[in-house]
Amino acid sequence: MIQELAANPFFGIVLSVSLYLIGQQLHKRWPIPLFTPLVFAIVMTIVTLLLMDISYETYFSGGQYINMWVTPATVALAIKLKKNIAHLRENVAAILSGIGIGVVFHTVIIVLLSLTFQFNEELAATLFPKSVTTAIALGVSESLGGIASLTVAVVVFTGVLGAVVGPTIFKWLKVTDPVAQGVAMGSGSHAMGTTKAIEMGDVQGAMSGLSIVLTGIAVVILAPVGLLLIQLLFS
Amino acid sequence: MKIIKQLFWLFLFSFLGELLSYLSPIAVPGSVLGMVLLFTALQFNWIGMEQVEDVGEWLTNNMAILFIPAGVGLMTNFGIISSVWWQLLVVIFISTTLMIALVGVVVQLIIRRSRVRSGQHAARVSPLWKGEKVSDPGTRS
Repeated sequence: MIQELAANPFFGIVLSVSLYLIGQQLHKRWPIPLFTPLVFAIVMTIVTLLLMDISYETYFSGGQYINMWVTPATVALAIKLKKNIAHLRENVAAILSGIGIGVVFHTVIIVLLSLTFQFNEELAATLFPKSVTTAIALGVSESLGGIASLTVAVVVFTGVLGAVVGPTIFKWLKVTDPVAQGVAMGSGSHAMGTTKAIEMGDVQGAMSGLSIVLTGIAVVILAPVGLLLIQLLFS
Repeated sequence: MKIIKQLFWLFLFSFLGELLSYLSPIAVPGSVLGMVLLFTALQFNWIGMEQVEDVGEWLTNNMAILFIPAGVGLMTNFGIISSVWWQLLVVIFISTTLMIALVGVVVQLIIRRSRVRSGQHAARVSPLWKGEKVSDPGTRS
């Protein structure tokens, strides 16, 4: 009986959306990382499915209807890019070189650490897109042969971590320029970093939002190089 | 009706992106190609902002909820995670902190340099200021 009901698409949808809403309420009261609505919803959905002995495939008969919106939402990032493109013109050299250097550097670190820990091809591909927004990371990971669900988890964790440590890093390194702060938050920890950047100020927020998209595009452009590196070094 | 029209554009560009991704020899996600196509269409005014804005903004502002099913997919990968979880945490911690630090420092350095060159003070930072010449990294002395 439970299995049949769980296979109904509305089971997965209601389960995940309700947990997300509960997470929002909890996060409002206790703003700790575990109560970030997305983190809470993922963890609690998994716990519920395991306790009720429901498979991921069964859950996904509903989950797919949420999942299919990722693509149009990613496409819609073009609107954010269009609205913030004016900010780019004012500091185009600084922003583009910052993001370019950052993305290349990030790839090098991922490759070096993956070699150190003797990760396989699949894990390296999973980690490669970790600093970009989930939608783009998901696509890049899939096209490089990574584990999509693990990429989502890694990306989410990166976002939560970046939002927490970002302000401290800026204090230590005396990064006081609001443009620099925004670009760093957006390119290093995507949408969650942007949430923090918006709290830091309007300039930071706009820059961070712009940087999410630019970093995503940079990672996509670099992906063929990443794929080549991964194939050369990890197989 | 307005919402249906806006959805139509977003779905159309999603599909065009997927189509282009399918046809292209390199691995670029269809969603990103769709985004680039929509941006191009907006930039050249083939499509007006008001034709996609409401639904598009609603989607991007509430994106997090859309990743739940993909994230729940973790439960099918417990085997891999249990064998490398602490290494993953180390990789995430090191790469994230270094990325934020490096990008912040580099962007600040270049902005300060260009501002010194064009005789402006670092204090005058505002997204609204006009007239600052964007520096060309190629001609820096």
